[in-house]
Amino acid sequence: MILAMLALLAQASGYPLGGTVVHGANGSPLKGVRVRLIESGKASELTSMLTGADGRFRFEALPAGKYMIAAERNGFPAQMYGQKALNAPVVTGVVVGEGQDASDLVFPLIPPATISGRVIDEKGEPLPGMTVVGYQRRGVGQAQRLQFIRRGSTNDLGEFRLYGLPRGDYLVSVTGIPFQSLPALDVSGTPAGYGLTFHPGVQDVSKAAWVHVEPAEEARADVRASASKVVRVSGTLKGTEIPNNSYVWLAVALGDGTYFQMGQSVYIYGSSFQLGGVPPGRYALFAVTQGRRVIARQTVDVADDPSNVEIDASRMAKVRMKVNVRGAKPGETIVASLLTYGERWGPQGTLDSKGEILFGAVAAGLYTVSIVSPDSRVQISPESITAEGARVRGDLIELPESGQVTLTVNANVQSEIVNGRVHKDGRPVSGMTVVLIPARNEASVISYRIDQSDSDGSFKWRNVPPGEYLMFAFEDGASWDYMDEGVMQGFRNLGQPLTVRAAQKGEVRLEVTRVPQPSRQ
Amino acid sequence: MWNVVVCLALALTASKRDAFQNEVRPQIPKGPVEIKGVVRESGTGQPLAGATVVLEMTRATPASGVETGPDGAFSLKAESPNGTVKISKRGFRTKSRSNQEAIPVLKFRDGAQTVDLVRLGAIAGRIVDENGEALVGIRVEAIYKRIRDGAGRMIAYATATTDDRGQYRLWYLDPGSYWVKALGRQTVMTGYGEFPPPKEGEFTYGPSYFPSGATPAEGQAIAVEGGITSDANFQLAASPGRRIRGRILGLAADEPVTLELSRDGESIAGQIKVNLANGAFEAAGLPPGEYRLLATTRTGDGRSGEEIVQLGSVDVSGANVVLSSGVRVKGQILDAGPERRFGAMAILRPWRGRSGEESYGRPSEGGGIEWTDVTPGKYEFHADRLNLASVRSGNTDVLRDGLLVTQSGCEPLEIRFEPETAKVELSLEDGKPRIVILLRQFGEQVLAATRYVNQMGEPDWVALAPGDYRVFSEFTSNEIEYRDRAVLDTLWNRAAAVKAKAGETVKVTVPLLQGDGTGGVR
Repeated sequence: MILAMLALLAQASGYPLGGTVVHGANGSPLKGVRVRLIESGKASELTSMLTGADGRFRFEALPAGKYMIAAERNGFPAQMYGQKALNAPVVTGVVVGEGQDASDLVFPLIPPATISGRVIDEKGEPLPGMTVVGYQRRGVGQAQRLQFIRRGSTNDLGEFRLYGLPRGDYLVSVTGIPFQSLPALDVSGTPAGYGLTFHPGVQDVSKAAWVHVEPAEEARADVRASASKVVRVSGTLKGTEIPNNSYVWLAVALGDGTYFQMGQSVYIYGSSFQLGGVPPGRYALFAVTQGRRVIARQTVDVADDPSNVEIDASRMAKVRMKVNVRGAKPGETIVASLLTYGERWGPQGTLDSKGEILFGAVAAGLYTVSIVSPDSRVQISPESITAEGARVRGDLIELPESGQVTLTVNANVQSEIVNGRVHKDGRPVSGMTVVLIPARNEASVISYRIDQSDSDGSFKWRNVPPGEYLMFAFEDGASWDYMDEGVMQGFRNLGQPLTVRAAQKGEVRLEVTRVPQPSRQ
Repeated sequence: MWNVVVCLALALTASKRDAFQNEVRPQIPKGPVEIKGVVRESGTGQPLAGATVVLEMTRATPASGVETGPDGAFSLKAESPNGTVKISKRGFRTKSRSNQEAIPVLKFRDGAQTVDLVRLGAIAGRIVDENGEALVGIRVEAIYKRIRDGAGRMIAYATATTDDRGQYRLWYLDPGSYWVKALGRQTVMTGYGEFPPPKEGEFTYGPSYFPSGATPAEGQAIAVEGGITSDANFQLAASPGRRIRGRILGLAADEPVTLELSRDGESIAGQIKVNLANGAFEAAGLPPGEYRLLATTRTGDGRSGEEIVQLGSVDVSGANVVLSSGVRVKGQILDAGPERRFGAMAILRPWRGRSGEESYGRPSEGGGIEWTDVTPGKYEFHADRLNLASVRSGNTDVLRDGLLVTQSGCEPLEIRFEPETAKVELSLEDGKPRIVILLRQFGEQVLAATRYVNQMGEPDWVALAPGDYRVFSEFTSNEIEYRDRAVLDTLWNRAAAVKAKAGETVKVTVPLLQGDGTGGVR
């Protein structure tokens, strides 16, 4: 009777959600943290509060449901409850309600890492005003590439500091003309320039040394760079319309379809341009409109003497894209785009009656495919991409400088949401990385699905076409470790089979996969 | 303007002398020149090793160079005397404030040359909040005061942003006096999220001058010496910040435009975002004050627009900046007599140190003056004459209250001179050629005129309208900020007082005053 009354009371006044925010590295309570409560699926916050000296936060009388908790504090990058790394894409939701205890959560704030160092020349003297970039290897399996994480510059002592970093392995590059606004001359009478040089002092990215940092750690990455004479590159652009205020820049290809921009961009006057202060080497030259549309891209070899280059945009690759959308309604309009990797723009058009589209001149580089049905406002995920005349790595397409390219994209308009719950020793378990991969061996990583279990063990895989799958629940490690064909190959025999049917219903029960912690090495 | 005339006269004399000397001087012998010398650190005289000495001959011949040895000495050979030698070293500049000292090869015929390079300095510090915690993303500027014609303008020389430890470093500063100003907080993106502001809501940090103070006068100037890092640590309190929103009108699609925001004549960089597609802009995190928005197209057609915004305790929206070609301002010298054409430029200078372009007008035969392409805004009238009686535009006393130029221009200026003047004879104690500054207070404005004294062919006297004047000379010109009210009060006691009476002649010995490095009088 009393119990029943208590339950009624609880229902009337709602449920609590609370806990302690602690420093992720030393576990001590953190005061002055703004803790924000967000209802799952809503964009704006419900309420927020500031932690006191004991680091505690508590929200009372909440309706039963699922909540996200965000935390902000001076000195820490903004983050959410359950995040396993500063740059993790998935978090843990907290469920409150009957039989759920969410009143004593521990929310560790992950402190950022730092890479600092000193850039010196051949004589050991500091190089001021150099551009410093920290990269991580991002992406998965075959689709790995270097991604810029943070940019900085050196001071008069040659010192730099890349801060606010997520844990992980980094490459560090430097480039530039020391204190370009007032450069000293070298004995050849020009300001000395430094081509892209990686820690500890190599130009070849494959010989660069990786630097590892954990949260709150500071690692050093000194760079010794060698000067080279810089030259002027002039050129003309033909074979394309050049809108006003278009500009060009030079970039170093990092060998995986990504580029590092060298120096400043310059405007194109009429059809000609002039770039100054270029260290000799091989570059990709980009011509881009004010609206960031690439109108030309060509490899340019810059020698020791001033160079003159001619860029012919009409030589760029012609891309025919064939899209097979299973389950599309007859006559349904389908819009396909090639998106420049890391951006939201790129050539776009409507498929013809044969499901094809031709893009006339597309710049070399990395692209992803986007397929949309504007009528039903559905974003359709590709299941597989194959190419003739280009390289496909996972969901990335690496287009060449010129030639004919045929892309074949298979997609399925039909997709399901798979709801599930992770169990360990018979009880739901929070914060597990849950992975769904197609059962067929050759399936590309673009059809992998990832989530993280909430406090009641529940999770969701969205956008899953019907078919045969294997599912996994891993206790530890960053989620992108598992978005990797190479890693997942080793676990295939441990996967729990799952058949996803049209109009999938109910909840999938998933046991924690008992494996040693996987690693990419 | 007398200065112009004097310079011309000097130039004429110089060219006559050159022509004469060329006749008697033997031809410059062709053949190699031995280039020898020593590079030293200015001030200490210490030899500088590792400085680069580059010989540039013609465009066709590649430059060649050497580095100075441990004793700072260099030696190389030029095949002919046509060319220059450029000397540079990282962390140093030349006395001419450029990076490379260019010396004609010919000069080395006279023997070894000594070249002094100035070592640059730095200011570094840490900025914390009210709780002593590091503030990340605070923009910091090293500012110095540039004085021209007695008006000081604060010029940002170097900028930096505090890192995660709250530390900043402003480097490669020329030796001299600097103010360090913290001006707002920038969002610090990490590539996956951002560092949250230390305090919630619309708060701003600064503008605050080291160690604390809203204006340079309330702050403390820091002396920078070559090769030394001066410390400037300070604490910043958060203050409520407001927004100014508006639109640049008359902008073509994707037309490049620069929008500058300034407060009390100081530029506030990095706080304004412009959407080029529709000209909409927004500046956030601003403390209350008077703001000036200046839009200038970068297409080279000279269109610009200005808007003054009074920001109080609420946000301002609809601050529209209308782009237009500059307007035309007309004036007329109304008195007859020799002053009808005063032969020199009359300048419309942005009011009391406000940033903006100056406009120049020269009187025609009939005494008419025209200033074209004047950006609407408030201006001071300047003419290097102290016998001006009045300048009026409609009902406005321009000398006292300034000139407001709007989109539709302004009433024509009526310029009058005093018919009767006093003759004031100027002499300097040391007899050296110097610039003498004569000041006359005119309401809010200080009218100033400059004269060269002890220059060849220069009459060392000036005609002044009846009234009270102060006269002084600077040790080096452009050192004392005599248009500043506070400086002027000190100066008024230190400079020589002159009482000019119509038709009389006054003799005055001009005192030589020295600046304190920040615009004041030592």
